[in-house]
Amino acid sequence: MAEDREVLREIWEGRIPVCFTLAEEEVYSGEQPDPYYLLVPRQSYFPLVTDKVQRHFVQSVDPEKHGEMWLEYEGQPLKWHYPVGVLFDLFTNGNCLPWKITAHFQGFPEEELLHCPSKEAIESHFMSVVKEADALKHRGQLVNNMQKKDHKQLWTGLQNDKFDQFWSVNKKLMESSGEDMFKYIPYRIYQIDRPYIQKLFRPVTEEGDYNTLADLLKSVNGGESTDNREEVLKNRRVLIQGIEPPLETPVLWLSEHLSYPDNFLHICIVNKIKNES
Amino acid sequence: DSSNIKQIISPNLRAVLLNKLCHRNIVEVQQFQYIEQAVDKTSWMKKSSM
Repeated sequence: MAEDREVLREIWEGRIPVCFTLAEEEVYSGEQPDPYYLLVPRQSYFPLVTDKVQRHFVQSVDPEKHGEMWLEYEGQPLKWHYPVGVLFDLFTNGNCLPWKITAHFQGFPEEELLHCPSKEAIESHFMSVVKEADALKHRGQLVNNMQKKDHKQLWTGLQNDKFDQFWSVNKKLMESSGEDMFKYIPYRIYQIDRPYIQKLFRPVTEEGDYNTLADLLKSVNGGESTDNREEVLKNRRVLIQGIEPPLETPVLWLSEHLSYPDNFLHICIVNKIKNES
Repeated sequence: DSSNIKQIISPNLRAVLLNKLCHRNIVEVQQFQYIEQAVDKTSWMKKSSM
């Protein structure tokens, strides 16, 4: 079970400094509005924390043309249903602070983004991912046995950035000892311009050893040889929660401690930046 | 009870991971504390004192 509160706290306290600007071509009246700076929790979702950004920019766009606000980074629309930290790690390589994001109110990219009609839509998405994670870990038994108020507490803990409120419920979902040992690890692997990878992966081998991050990466690459794997990873970085965990780290520990609030371990594989060995 | 932690990862490996997280928060958070927090944590306090 995730008991290392010092690590869990550091994860929870992760923030990304973001500089939002309004798309130049959408400025309707007057001058380009000032950028809006926010320190955004890595664990959150953009529509949960950008009401102020929307209010700041909406007065500068054509009232007859503006629709739902959507965000873009260097031409890439940002999926609101991915946690903020995942988007940052995937698209910036952790090398762009503050993160410069463009806000749009026109030309919604229907084929690339889901609409986000309300906070309830985010809550619904979040809870469906939590349930999927529990189905993989505990056949869905823990989340199904919880009361509605526990589900609500998970959500409001995330929404209001309340660590203790969130973890007093989430610790039950992270139970992994005895009969409650995770059956499979809920994880997703992201690479730019590819669909994410998600497969069944057990935390422990048949011999009773803990599977490591290296074992997980090997399994998604079709079990290719160590030499090939090392060659592939030579020019890549494996980022989880903005850090590169040693490849010998047991995946069970990573799942318990470095998962996002949706209970999934989101792993980004990105190119190494220049001058990086 | 930290026995479970010790069974899964060594103290050294745990220290490496924790150091990486602390460094992440220094680079990404502490240097930007002057920026407005997206989630205003003071609102609950104000309501509770009413």
